[in-house]
Amino acid sequence: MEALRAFKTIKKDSLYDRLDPRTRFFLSTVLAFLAIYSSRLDTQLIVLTCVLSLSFMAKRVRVILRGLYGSLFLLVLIFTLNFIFTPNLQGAIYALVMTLRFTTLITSFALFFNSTSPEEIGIALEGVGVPRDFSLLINMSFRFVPTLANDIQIVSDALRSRGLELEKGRLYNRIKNYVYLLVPLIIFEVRRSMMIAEALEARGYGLDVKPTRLVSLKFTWKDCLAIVLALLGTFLLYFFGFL
Amino acid sequence: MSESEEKIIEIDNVYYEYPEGIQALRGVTNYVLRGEIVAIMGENGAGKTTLIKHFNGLLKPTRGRIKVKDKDTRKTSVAELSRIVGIVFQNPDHQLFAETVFDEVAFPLRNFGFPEDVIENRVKWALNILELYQYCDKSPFMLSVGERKRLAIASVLAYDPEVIVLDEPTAGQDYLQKEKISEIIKLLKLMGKTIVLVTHDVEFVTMYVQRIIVMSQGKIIAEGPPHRVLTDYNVIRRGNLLPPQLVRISRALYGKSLLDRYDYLSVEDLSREIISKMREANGGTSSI
Repeated sequence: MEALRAFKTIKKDSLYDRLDPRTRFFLSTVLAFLAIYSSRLDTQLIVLTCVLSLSFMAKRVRVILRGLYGSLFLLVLIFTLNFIFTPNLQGAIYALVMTLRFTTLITSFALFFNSTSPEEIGIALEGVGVPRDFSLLINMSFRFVPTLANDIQIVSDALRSRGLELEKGRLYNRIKNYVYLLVPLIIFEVRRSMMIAEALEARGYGLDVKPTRLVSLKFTWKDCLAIVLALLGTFLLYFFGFL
Repeated sequence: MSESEEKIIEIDNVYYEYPEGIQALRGVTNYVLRGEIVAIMGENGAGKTTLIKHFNGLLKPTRGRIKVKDKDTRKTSVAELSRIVGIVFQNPDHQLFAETVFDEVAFPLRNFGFPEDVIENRVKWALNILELYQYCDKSPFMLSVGERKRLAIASVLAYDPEVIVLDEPTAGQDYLQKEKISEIIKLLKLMGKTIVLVTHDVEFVTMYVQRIIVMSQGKIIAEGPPHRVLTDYNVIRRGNLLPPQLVRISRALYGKSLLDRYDYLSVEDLSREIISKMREANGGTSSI
């Protein structure tokens, strides 16, 4: 739940929020690329520090760290699975690199989704030439992540109110408890998706007319500066042999 | 409140902040008496649902404390508190999952460890009360919205909690369903249950509720009997409520000096007063 919450958009008055969504996406992609490309521990630490500095600039350190806390189980699992096959110092470093890589991936994209509304994502995608049907599909998938998180919370509250202890008991029982959670959730989401499809059609979606936009994106000198800095940082990492 | 009245829920200076940083409750202090029907009203986002989620420990106060039958909710599990406080959520679709109506109602009883013979009796009893017994073997998803709402109430009523909290019971319901919910509330009252309603429905509240708590921006801005709270236009404005129709009519007549007061919440009282005023105006000779 906490991991999903980190993807919920919260608008803040920060320098990062004032950047164009395409720039924000570029920054997250560059950081994710560096994390995937490099297998060095020091590079992973540098990239993660960059992500956290960016989160600080975006005034979102708390929400990002909380999201990480929600993914703690997955992080421990990644470390353990990588470590048990080579249980020595080399293996530990490799496991740590893999864990940090995953951490950077989560945090960099959580930061992007936390600051960028699904509408902005849709506009940005259409701005780079993605057809409207696809941009809407992607837009809506992201749009409903926080809604899904909210629904999970409501359903689990309703189940807990009727005496179900989701996190208690043996592993088999816990898995069975989550089935109770899934049934209302799936039914609810299917009903919702049908309602959304009807609402879209009722409001003229699908007409063969090029839609107009109320909001248009603006690319300013701040965006240029952010992109130049990201490219410069990547070049410096390469120049000093970190990549 | 007299000394003989026992507080079943005590809310003591409760603050609650959601993980997103939203301060939902800001120093709420109040109580719920055993056997009373109390309504919590107020604008959207006032903190009503957040407050009721504290009653069975789904949410724990950031500051302050809530006691349910002298049990501190911060130190008691949700399962334990749910035996005392049963919450019926606004949307029944958020909680229905079983294959049959019977299993749906039996679910909490099994969680609480009731023996199977007791479960059978309790489920039959709850389904009969809510006129759902004929759907015993049907899927809950085949029922109408009103029936699903009643099923959600039955699944809470079956394990016999002392306090029943109904979140927006009349939202989206037609007149007939509202009448059925009113009947259920009357019945629960007869059974000696304590009932907490979260609602925006002022007309509904005037008929069944003994005390109203009005919330705004995470705080309680007024509390008291309906005839006092729902005739206070300052509270109504701050709580984003619509005054009951009778209050609006009597206030209009009061404004034209045709009535001496405007706190009428029953049609009988208001019509009696209007007739009496008309008789007075006709020098007591009216045939009305």
